[in-house]
Amino acid sequence: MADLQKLYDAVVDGDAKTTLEMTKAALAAGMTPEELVAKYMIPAMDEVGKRFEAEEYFVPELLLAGRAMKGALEVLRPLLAASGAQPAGKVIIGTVKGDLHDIGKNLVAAMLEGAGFEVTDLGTDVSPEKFVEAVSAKGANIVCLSALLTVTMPAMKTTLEALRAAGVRDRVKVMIGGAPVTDQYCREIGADSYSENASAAVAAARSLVAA
Amino acid sequence: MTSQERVLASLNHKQPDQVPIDLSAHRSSGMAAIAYPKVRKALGLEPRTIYVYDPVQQLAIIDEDVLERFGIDVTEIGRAFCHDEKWWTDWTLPDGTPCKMPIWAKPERRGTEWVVMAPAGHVMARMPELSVTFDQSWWPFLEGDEDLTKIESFFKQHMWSGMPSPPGPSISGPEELTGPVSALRKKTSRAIIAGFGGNLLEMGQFHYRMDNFLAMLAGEPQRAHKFLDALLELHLKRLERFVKAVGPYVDMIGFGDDLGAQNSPQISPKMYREFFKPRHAAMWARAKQLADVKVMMHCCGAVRPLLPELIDAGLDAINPVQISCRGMEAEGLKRDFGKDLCFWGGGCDTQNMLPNGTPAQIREHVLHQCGVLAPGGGFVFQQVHNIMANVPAENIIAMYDAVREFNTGKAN
Repeated sequence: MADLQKLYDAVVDGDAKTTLEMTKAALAAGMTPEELVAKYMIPAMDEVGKRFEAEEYFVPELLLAGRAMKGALEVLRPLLAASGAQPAGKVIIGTVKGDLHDIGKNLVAAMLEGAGFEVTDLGTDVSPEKFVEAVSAKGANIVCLSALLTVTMPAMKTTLEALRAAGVRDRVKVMIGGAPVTDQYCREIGADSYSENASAAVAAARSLVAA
Repeated sequence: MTSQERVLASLNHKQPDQVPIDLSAHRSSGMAAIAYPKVRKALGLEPRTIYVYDPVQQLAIIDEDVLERFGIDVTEIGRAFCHDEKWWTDWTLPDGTPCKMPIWAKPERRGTEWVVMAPAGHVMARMPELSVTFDQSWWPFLEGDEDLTKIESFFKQHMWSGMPSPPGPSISGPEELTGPVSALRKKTSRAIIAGFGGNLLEMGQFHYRMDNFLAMLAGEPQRAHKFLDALLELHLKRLERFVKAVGPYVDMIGFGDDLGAQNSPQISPKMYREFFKPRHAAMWARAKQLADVKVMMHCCGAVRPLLPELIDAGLDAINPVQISCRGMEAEGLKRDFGKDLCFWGGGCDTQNMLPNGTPAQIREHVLHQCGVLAPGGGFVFQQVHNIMANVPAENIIAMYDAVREFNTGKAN
């Protein structure tokens, strides 16, 4: 059996090559994808989040770890699907209408995936209608909205209104984030949670699905 | 004091007679072209044709009557160029207001969005419906097959350098700056900024895309160093020609590199020291060797942990002092770095206060910020970054009136 501490370290260090090699070796040695995710990938990404919170890691290290983890997940995802494993939650994420910025949104998506959530990323400049469609199509229980600009923040409110109008607002928890977004704004527009960074978004998503 | 003397006193950490004020003297102290005519109307001034000096962010050239009304002390070299109508073309701002755009950055309609084409034929910038600024949509080294000898040839092909402010392509080289800029020096009593750029981290992001270059810094440091070596060589070559052409006539050379995010720097101080500090220091030292100028850098975000490094690298003034970011409260910055660094900004929060506050709240906030940052010089007033399209005219006027009140002791 491969030394799986190395897999954990490779994810934390953002070493995509070793992460993928170790993942394949562990599967070949008979480890289940569920075990790999639960015992190594999720704890490794939790450690990455902790280091980010402690300002030992910054965006470059976070991106690198996220990429390493994603490489392994591409191998694991079909196996997880085939085995009928349930994700921690089903997330629809996107940058709101009028806004093309995606670095923060992508980091949140990667950290949520690394925490065992199934993430459907709708990209940038996403209309309220597309969010509504995706919630129904994917059976999502979390919607994450991102905006970088003060001028596009109002599209978060419009998206929430569209979810209400379509009758799906009660099915999902809505998380928001982005540079100008605040907790106060979250309360004003009636979203469920504001996160100031990708690591905090994982904690928020976990607490929302546990509630 | 003249405006220029006032700015120089403040840059030299001497108490000027009044807090100097910047509006539209660089690409991050401007006013959205959508907001500008509303300000003119609210001030009781006649409508004028709107000229956009920054096509990416759609910032208006502010007319002399408004600059005088607000008591503006700084200008930039671009105002000495493109006075001929042949450099301008008609366009319509996203809110339907007609304006003039520089001919080299004419947006085209594509479905529901606006795009700007690069000379090579690709879409270099996009602005979707509901947005009021362009975003980069083409990166020369996105596929990873970088040819570092071609960096300069790509300047016209990607957004920030491909959609420049005047003079832009109206001149064929920096030597053509000298005549008009020396004439501007004779004509104006304002301080003059010569915006150069010299971006390092951002140029990596503009070439490889933001996420790829950030990941490269952590995962492939030697590759990042090679890119930055080639870039610095190019920047220094261009900087020398630029400063030789304009140095005797200007007060500041403007650099730019956004190193911050909302709650922390984008990169660690260690990474700043390894990749960027020596290269910033080389450019800033070269500029000061070639002319009697100060160096200012535009650097958004929560960059407090990097300020000691920037000071050590030779920076004189930092902009925009984003006070709404973590650790960027004016009191702490002034206390800890005020004797070494001039704060060019931080006068009014633009993420929440300016768009959402009432005129009375804005007045109180601006008076407070000036009270903290002005003592002993080392402060030039500007709101944190550009005044966006959605800011009410009365808020903008309240902000400048509050600075005037601070300066004169009299409310308008």
